[in-house]
Amino acid sequence: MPIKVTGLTYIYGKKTPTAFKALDDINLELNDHIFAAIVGETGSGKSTLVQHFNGLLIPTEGTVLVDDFLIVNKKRKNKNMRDLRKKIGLVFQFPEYQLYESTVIKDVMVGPKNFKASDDEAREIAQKALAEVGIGEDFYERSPFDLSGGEKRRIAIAGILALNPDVLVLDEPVAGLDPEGVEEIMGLLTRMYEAGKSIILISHNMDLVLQYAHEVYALHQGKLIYEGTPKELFSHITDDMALEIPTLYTMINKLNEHGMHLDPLEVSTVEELVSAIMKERGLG
Amino acid sequence: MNIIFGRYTNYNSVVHRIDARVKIALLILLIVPIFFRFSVPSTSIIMSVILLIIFLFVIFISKTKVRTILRSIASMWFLLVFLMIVYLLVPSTDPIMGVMFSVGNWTVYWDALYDCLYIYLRLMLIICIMMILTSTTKNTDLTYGFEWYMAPLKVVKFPSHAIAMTLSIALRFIPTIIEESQRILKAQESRGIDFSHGGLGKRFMAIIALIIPLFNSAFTRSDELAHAMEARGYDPKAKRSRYQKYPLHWVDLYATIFVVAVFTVYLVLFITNKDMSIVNLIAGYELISW
Repeated sequence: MPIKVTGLTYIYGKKTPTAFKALDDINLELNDHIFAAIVGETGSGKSTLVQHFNGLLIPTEGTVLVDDFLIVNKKRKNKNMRDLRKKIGLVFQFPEYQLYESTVIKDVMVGPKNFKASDDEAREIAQKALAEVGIGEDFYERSPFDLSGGEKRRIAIAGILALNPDVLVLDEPVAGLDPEGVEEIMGLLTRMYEAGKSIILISHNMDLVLQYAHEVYALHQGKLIYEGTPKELFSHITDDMALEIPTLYTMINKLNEHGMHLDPLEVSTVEELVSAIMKERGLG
Repeated sequence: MNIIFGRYTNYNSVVHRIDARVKIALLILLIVPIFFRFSVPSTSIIMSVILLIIFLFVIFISKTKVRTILRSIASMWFLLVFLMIVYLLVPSTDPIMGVMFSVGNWTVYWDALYDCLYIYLRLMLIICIMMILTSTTKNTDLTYGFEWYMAPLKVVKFPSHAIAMTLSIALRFIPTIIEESQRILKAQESRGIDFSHGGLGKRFMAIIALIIPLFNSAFTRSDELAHAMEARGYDPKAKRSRYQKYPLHWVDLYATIFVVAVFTVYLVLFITNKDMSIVNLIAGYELISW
């Protein structure tokens, strides 16, 4: 499901002394079946941007076109927002805070039931979604409040997966998780991508962006300052982008300072780095 | 959502610059005249309207949003209708304004309507003044003001600091919790929970999806805050200094003079001329001045 953003400007608290321009004339086009990352420092407008994709925020100026849903700054024109939300699944930062039902299975069933699925259908969908995030049957009747942070998060993501969206947008899905949890979530996203869904990911973790994303959009103070592949971004990174450099690239830079000639455009995983070094040394 | 409290807006008006302690005192001085009731109805109404004009003037210079005031009045429509019904049903004691209508031996006097409208007027005055206070004073300053007034109670071992601290924490977290509720609202909307459409039962279920996560995070937050305070050795009984100083300025004096003048005029008129109509009053003052 392609997303086309044209001239998007969003101002928080318009007409108040605290008015804040969070997005400034953003133009971008996201194609079908992509694994994209949106990066930028805190307050650069990443979360604001993705909330436009499923119509939670309405542009102050400009338009967002998702498939054939047009979101513009005219209330009566924005119909069927709920249908849009079924197609674009948005997982918020710390989604564990959205859990409220008495059992895990009931909480995941909330989504499908809101879209008119019967109890049995909803249960079936929920079981499938929970299986996808690796939550077993023994969890179904437990209270979501008794689980660990990582488990809660996976259940919250299952709650969105149960809507079977075409595009999955995740705001900092791995924030505050241990390395194992990070791997689980990223593995899940890769599987979702391979199953044909689009993944749009907001992250501060540049290592993950480099490793998983195929395209990256960088925001700085509400403006889109870069679009392209992660490798290109990280090999041309400048200070005013206010982005961190992935650990891998710091390593490459250090090695190059000491006389090696590694091309950052050819490396995005540790394995690739190893083989690049081997080649350099004439061992490969 | 909030009926009496406006949201602090960071303008730099004269009213914003008045010291919180002074503002609280002046507020009380302005609330008292609202309750002065003159026995001649026209006088009461005129005096209240004059007060309303003064308040509107203050609202104007403090850039308080009139819309929020109107909205808060509109949100009380149920109370207003209820008041009207009660006033019309309960018989008036010594009616002086004549009969409005009567059904059988049930008579409704114009007094009832007058009493009711007079209450509306007073209610509006009180809302205006509370709005002015809360939308021109920072929460922290406000709690400092209350704490300052409670200070003498320390003599009788009244935990004024603890109360002020509780109050300031509560006020501090209002915006946080509003923000949190917005976030949960959006997260739940993303799951297809519809907060703005559907019947009563459906809306009620939707509200549960907001309330439970909100309580959950509020309790988590307060627990964490308590732990963090203890970890830093917070002692409620310790003597502490302040980050900010609150010196008095000329503006405080001017404001005090203005309010005390208004208050004195109302008080003098109330004591000396309780039973006179406003026309006689003005005539009387003209005689004196001649």
